[in-house]
Amino acid sequence: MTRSSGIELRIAPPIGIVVLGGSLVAVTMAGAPHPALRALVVFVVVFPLLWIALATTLSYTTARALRMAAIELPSRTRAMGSFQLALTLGHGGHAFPAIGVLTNARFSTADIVLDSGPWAEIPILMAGRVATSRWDVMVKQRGMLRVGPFRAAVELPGSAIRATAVFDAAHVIRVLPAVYQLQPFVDALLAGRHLAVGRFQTLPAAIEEYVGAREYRPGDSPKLIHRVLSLRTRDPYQFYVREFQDPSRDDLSLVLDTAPPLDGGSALHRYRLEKAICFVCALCRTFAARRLTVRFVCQRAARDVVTLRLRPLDADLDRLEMELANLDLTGDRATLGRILLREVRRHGAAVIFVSLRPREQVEQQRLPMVTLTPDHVPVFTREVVSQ
Amino acid sequence: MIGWLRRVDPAFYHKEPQLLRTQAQIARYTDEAQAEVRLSVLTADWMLHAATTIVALSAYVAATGAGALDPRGDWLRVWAFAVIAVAAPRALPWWPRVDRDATWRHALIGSALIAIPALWTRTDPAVLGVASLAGATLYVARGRARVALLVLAVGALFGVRIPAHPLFAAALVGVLAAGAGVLGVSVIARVWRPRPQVVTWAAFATLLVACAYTFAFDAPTVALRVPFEIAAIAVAYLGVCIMAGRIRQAELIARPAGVLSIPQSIVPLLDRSHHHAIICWLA
Repeated sequence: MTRSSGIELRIAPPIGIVVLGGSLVAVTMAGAPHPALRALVVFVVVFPLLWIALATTLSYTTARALRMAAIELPSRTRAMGSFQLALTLGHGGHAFPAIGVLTNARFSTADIVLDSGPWAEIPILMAGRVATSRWDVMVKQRGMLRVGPFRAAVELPGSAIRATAVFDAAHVIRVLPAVYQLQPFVDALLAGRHLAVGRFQTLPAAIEEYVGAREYRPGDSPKLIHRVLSLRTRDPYQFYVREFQDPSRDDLSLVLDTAPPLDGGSALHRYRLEKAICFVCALCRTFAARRLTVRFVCQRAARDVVTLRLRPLDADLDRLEMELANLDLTGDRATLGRILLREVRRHGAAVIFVSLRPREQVEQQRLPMVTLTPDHVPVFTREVVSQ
Repeated sequence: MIGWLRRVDPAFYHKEPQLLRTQAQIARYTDEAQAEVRLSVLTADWMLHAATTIVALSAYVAATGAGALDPRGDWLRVWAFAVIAVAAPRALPWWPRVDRDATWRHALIGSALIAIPALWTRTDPAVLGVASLAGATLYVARGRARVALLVLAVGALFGVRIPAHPLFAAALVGVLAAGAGVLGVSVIARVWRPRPQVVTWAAFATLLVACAYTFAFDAPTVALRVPFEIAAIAVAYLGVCIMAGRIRQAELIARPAGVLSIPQSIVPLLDRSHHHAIICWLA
C-alpha cells in the first residue's frame, strides 16, 4: 500500500476562529472574578476546546493513516464511451476508524482540467481494512486522459482543519476516437471507382499470394476450386474457391486533411477535424469489414506523413485508432497536394479525400477522386456508438 | 450530389454554428446551488430541529440560573430570555416554514418556559402574568416582526442593567445587536457555502456569550445552582454536537453527484447534449 505524498491542510475560516476566540475570552473574563463559578467556567470553556481539539487531531491523524491500496482503470477507452474508475484506500492506523472520508481524482486532457470532484464518500473505514470509491467517467475528447493525483479528505464535525491526503499516482488513458455507425449506402462512395463487391480475376497472377477461401460463386474459374476443402463439405454441390491477392496493391486510399485553416476560425476547423477523424475511423472499419485493403494517409507533423496499410485485421485497425487518437491540425497545404497527387497516380486504388474545407478546391476537382467535405459526414453517419 | 445531400439533412448546415456557441450548463454544480440543496436537506431534518430546540431550551435554563432567576423581580429579563429561546431558533434558515397553528404553539411554549419552572418553586399570579406576557408577545410578533422582537429582547437584557438610562441603553444595545446580527448573518451566509461547519462554531460562540452575560450579571444566583448549570450547559453542548453531525450529513447528501469539465470542449459529431471534454459522476 502506498503512503500519501503529502497532507494538505485547510484551516477553518478566520471569522469563525475570531468569533469563537472572542467568546471564550468574554466568558473567561466574566467568570474569573467569581471563585464560586470556577468549575462552571472551566467546564464552559474547556468543553468546546476539547471537542475542537479532538476533532482536529482525529482528522489529521486519520488522513495521515490513509494508504492507497489499488486503482482500477482501463489503459484505453473510446471518446463518447464511459469507463469505471475505482480507488481502493486502506487504513494503516491502529486505534480509531476513519469516518466520513471523501475521495476524488483529478482528470486532465489537453488544456482541460477537472479537479473539483465529485467527492465519493467512504462512510467508515475501520483500522486495517480497505474500502473502495467508484466513479463513472465519460471522456468526449480523444487524446490522452491523465487521471490523478487522488485525494482523500477527512473533516470531522467541529474540526478546525480539513486534512486531505494527496496520492501522487498519475495514470494515462489513451482515448481513441468515437465510433460512428455509418449508413449502409456508404458503398456509394466507391461506385464507378472500384469493384467493391468482390474480386473477379480469373486466375492469380504470379505476384499474388493466397489469402483464403470462400464459397464458389457463379463466374469463378473452376481452376480456383479448393479441392480439399470442397471434399470435406457434406453437400456434394458445395464448392470452395481459393482467393489470391496482390500484396502490393490496395483497394482504397483514404486521405485525411490535417492542414489548419488559412482564414482563422480554428474552433470550427478543429470541430470539423474531430468529425473527420471519427468518420475516417468508421469508414476504415466498414471497408475493412468488407475485406478491402485500405491505405490510410495523413500528415502527422511537418515532413511527417503517416501511411498505414489496413488489412481486415484487428491489429491494423488498432494501429489506426492509436494513430488517430493523437492527430492534430499540423499539416500544410503543399504536402497535402503532393499526397493527393501521389495517391491518385497509384494504380488501381480508388481515392477518398476527407477534407476539412466546406467546398472542394479547384485543384482537387481535377483529380479523379471522391472529396468529402464536412457537410457530407452527417449524411453518411447514422449515430455514435458509445462503446 | 450536393443537392441530394441537402435534401437528406438540410438543417445540418445551420446546426453546426449553434453547436459551437452552446454554453455549458453547470448551474447545479455551483457552491450556490449546493448550499440551496443543503438547506433543503436541513429543512427536512427533524433531528436537527429537535437538537436546535434542545440547545435553545438548555441555554434558557442555564441563562435563568436553572430556575433561580425570580420572575417577579427580574420579570423583564425572564421575559427576554424566554422570547429569545423561542424566537431565535425559528429565525434560523433551516427552520421549516411555519403553518397557521405555529404561532399558537410558539406562544404556548414561551408561556410554559416561564410558568413551569416558576410554578415548581413558587406559585404566584405575577409569574403567570409574565408567562402570559411572553406568550402574547410571541403571538403578536409573527413573521418578520420576530426580528424586531429579538432586537427588543436583546436591548431589554442590557437596558435593565443600566438603571440610570434604561431606555437609552436598551435602544443603543438593540441597534448594536441588530447591526451585529445583520453583519453576522451576512458573514455566516458567505462562509456557509464553502464551509458549512462554521455554523457549529457560531453555535458554540452563542452559548458562550449567553454564559458570559449570566456570569457577569447573575453570578450570585448562578453560584447557588452550579451542578444544574453544568448539566444544562452540557445538554446544550451535546445538542450543538448533534447539530454539527447533522450539518455534516447534509453536506454529504447535498454534494454534487457529478461534475462536468469547464470550459466547453470540442467533441465529436452527434453529441447534442453539451460540449464537455470530461464528465465524472459517482458510481
